[in-house]
Amino acid sequence: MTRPDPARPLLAFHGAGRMFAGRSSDAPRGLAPISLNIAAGDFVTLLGPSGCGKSTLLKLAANLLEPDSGHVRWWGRGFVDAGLAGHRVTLVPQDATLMPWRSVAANVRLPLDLERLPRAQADAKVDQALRKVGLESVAALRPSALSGGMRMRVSIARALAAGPELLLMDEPFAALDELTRTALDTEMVHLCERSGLTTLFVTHSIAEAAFLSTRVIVMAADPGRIFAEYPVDPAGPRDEDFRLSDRFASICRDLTRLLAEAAR
Amino acid sequence: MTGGAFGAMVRGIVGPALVLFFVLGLWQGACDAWSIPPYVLPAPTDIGHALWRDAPTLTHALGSTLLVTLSALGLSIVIGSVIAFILVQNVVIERSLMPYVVVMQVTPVVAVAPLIVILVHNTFAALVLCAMLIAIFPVIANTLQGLKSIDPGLADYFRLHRATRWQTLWRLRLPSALPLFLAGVRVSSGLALVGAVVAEFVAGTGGNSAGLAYEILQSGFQMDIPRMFAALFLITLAGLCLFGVTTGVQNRLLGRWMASR
Repeated sequence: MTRPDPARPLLAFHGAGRMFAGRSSDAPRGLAPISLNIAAGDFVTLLGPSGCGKSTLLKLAANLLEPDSGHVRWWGRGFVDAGLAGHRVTLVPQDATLMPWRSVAANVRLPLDLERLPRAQADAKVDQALRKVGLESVAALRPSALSGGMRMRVSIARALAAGPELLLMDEPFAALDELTRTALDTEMVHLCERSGLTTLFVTHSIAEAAFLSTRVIVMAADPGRIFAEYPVDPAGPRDEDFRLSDRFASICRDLTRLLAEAAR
Repeated sequence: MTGGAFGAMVRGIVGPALVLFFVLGLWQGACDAWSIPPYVLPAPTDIGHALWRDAPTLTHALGSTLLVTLSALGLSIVIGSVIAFILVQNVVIERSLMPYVVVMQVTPVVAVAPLIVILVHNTFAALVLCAMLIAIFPVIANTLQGLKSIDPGLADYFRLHRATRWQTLWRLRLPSALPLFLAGVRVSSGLALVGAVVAEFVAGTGGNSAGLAYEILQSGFQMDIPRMFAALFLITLAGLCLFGVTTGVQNRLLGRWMASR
């Protein structure tokens, strides 16, 4: 696979937006036209209140919605032209959304099955992906036998098995308890660094955004739009020390202030 | 673990069995104590005797009724699933056809049965058709609901990964529909038996294709009440077996993931 040109954004929104007709009394819902570039290796977090169009933005990035203004480009091209049948973009949905009737391994193999990859090759990739999230021992179990955190890890393994370049995550850890969430955040950072993944991550949590991102997009509602971009200085490793550092605290403070301004 | 399961099974059998013996004992005792004649209320022993005496005729009738029931159930499953598939294809088709599926369901088959018996010359076909009209609705309704009850997150995932229509059907729609489909089949199996018996009553067919309902009618005419009870007992037994088999199939197919949910 050719490495993407760093000068050309992996994902670009050119005045792209999508509004939904609400009742006349309601404020317009959805996402007003925005422009946004995401380069290879970025970890971009969308942070904002409910109704600010975060999920709409992610759905546009996943080509699950068509924009009603502007356009979205992947590797400078349209979704189909960019060879996305090759699974260069994948999604980790809000819930684990696993198939309860199949084993963990079969769930992780899903994108490869859809691609019609030969079984032996697929199984090797599944093993690798399960090892990355530390779940190789439960490969044969059904999802119902796992805890919420483990199920989410299976969902991440499924995304990794596809060998994506762009990972879209829609509040993946929102339903988990704080400890599990923190552990998974740390794992995510390491996974993305090691695999050279580009990630677009939606969250409600300021701490999560501060910990994970190279860039935080603070969004405002009514109509959904980008309020501010906040680059996070990538210096130093993202580990427990970072979480306890003054720098982390000051990032959280800045983001809190921006969110408050966005809500005004 | 197995001890617990075994214990639960024993409790599940011993309790109902005790109730059965108690009720049968009361029944027998009452019949003996007040010397109730068998043509008013036969004692369990009278029914047992009738069952033994008329075993050849009754088992033949049972076979006949079961054949109608199972044919109707089989056809309901096949045709019902096909109809559900057609309905789920698009909203216009569903909106246009669903009212007629409902009309079919709300029209009492007992009222339609005489018409079917007149229109369809082959008696067996007429019986199966009547039973099917009763049994097919749960299959249609449940399969339709099942085919629609897809996890929207998974549906998005399939779409993002550009799954073909066939892949989505085979890997997502059918497995998602399975639990509701099987529940529909279970309800349908009971209704197929009801339909078969009702159809036999209406058709009143004797001879080689005489079913249990015909035996009940005949016994009534002959005032052979114990035999009437014996036939009724066999219908109940058939219903219980159908319920057991469909529940077993359901548990076997779904047990791996439904039980632990």
